[in-house]
Amino acid sequence: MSSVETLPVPFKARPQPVEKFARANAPIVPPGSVTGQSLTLVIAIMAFLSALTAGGVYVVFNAANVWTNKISAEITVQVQQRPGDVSDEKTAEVARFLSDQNGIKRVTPFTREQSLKLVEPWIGKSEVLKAFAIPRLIAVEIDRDNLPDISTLKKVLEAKYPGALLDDHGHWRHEIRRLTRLLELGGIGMLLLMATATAAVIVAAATSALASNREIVSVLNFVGAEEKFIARQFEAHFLKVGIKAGIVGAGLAAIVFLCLPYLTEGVSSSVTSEAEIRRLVGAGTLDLGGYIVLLFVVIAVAAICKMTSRYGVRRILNQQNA
Amino acid sequence: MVSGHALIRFENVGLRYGVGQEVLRDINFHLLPGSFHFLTGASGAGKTTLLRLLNMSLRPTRGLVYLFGRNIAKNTTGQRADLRRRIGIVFQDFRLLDHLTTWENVALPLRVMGRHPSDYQEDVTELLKWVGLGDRMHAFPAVLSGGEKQRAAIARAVIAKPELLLADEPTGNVDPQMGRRLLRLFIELNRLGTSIIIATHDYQLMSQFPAARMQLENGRLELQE
Repeated sequence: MSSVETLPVPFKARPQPVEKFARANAPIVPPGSVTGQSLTLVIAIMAFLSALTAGGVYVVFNAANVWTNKISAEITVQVQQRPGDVSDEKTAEVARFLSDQNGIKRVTPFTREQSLKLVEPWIGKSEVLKAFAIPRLIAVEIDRDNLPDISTLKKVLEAKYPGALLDDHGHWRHEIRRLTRLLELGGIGMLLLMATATAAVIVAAATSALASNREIVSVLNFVGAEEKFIARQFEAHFLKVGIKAGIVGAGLAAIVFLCLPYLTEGVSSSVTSEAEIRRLVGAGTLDLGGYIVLLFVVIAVAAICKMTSRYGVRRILNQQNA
Repeated sequence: MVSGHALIRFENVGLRYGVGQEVLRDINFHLLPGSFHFLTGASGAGKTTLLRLLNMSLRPTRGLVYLFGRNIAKNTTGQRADLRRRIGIVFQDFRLLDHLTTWENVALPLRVMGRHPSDYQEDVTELLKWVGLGDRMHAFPAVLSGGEKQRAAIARAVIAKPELLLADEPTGNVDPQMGRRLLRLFIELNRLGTSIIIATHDYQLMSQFPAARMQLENGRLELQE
């Protein structure tokens, strides 16, 4: 420094050995003051809850799609017996008629025993049932690449075979769509609430962590550091905390989703109820898309942490430069 | 708006904290580049408040303050940072960062300017030796005495060769010999072009250098050339 070289100091005449500076890039913000265990823990818990909600919404989305797809890929034909009908023959005739139509992939007529089994859960197993004229069912799988004209098919079928009723599951489809739409909206609402709560908790925790570093912000401000420079010192730390806590939270949520099939096994009272749960929401596990959703949670948590630190630094600077 | 060639210009400046009485009243003065002033007055006269106006941590409740020809009320955050780089500040309470060594604290203004450590390594080391902290370079502030902290704070304020140096009681914690040594540092800096304002009660220090005095009394400022 030229100003020092001109100073009237005797020892300045002698060449001085240059000492090795210890830490030229010593952290301006001590990591421990930001990355406190409690802050990391709070953010990890919020990340866990958010990941759980996001994963749950994803599972419901998928299940809803599967239900709707399955139900729209099939139609059912009921063949009501009329006096003088020979049940099996009429059913076989209707099945043949259906097989010959365009856009029909597979036709599966139910036997009398199979049809009886369908009403067993409501009426019970009884020999008396055999005396009833239970309608025979024909499950028809539609070729989704070459959809048939269902309304024309219905008209022709019902006119040609009195007692035959074609059900395109429209009512169920509508009901399921309504239900899944509600579930989806509920899930998105929950996710938004969780994201807001997570952001609020992170903002509060990070602001208090920043407040404890007010002196550092103040000194940097007075030595002429730009706002961006000061914010950067904190951002790096907060980003690390966010990523670390996000990975822990989302990782735990991923473990929960992996264990979900075993959990449903544990909570269901019987094999059938377990099967019902599986039918409703699948196994509950996540596919690749689900894990990508969890990854987004980690990114979102890290981004919230980073933005929070910038906002907090700006707030402290505004107070100091009032 | 640019105000003449004055380094500092105060026009009818008044300042009050909250709804209380004005701490500073009708302050009018200007200082030219390269000037040297002692700012003096009784305790509570407003010396620190005037320095805070000069380092832009306070805004006047009335009147205009120009620094380096610029109205500070119209500064953006970026412009404020630029101006602060041209000002060295020695705080009464030192304000060293406890987690950085003495060397790192002194190097801080150069570091925030984005300069590479190899550019200033020698300068920082030499300056620390000059202020008598050659053997305390790698010590943390917690283990420094009051006088050592004060010298480190002064070194930090002058390391970037500021155009204006504001020092609040810079010799309050050092012995007379070190006080004279530090005064020589300020005089030398002034000779190289830095304007100096030293707020002090130390009449012995003021008697050693015939600088102009800014006397604060009852919130009013009188310049004694």
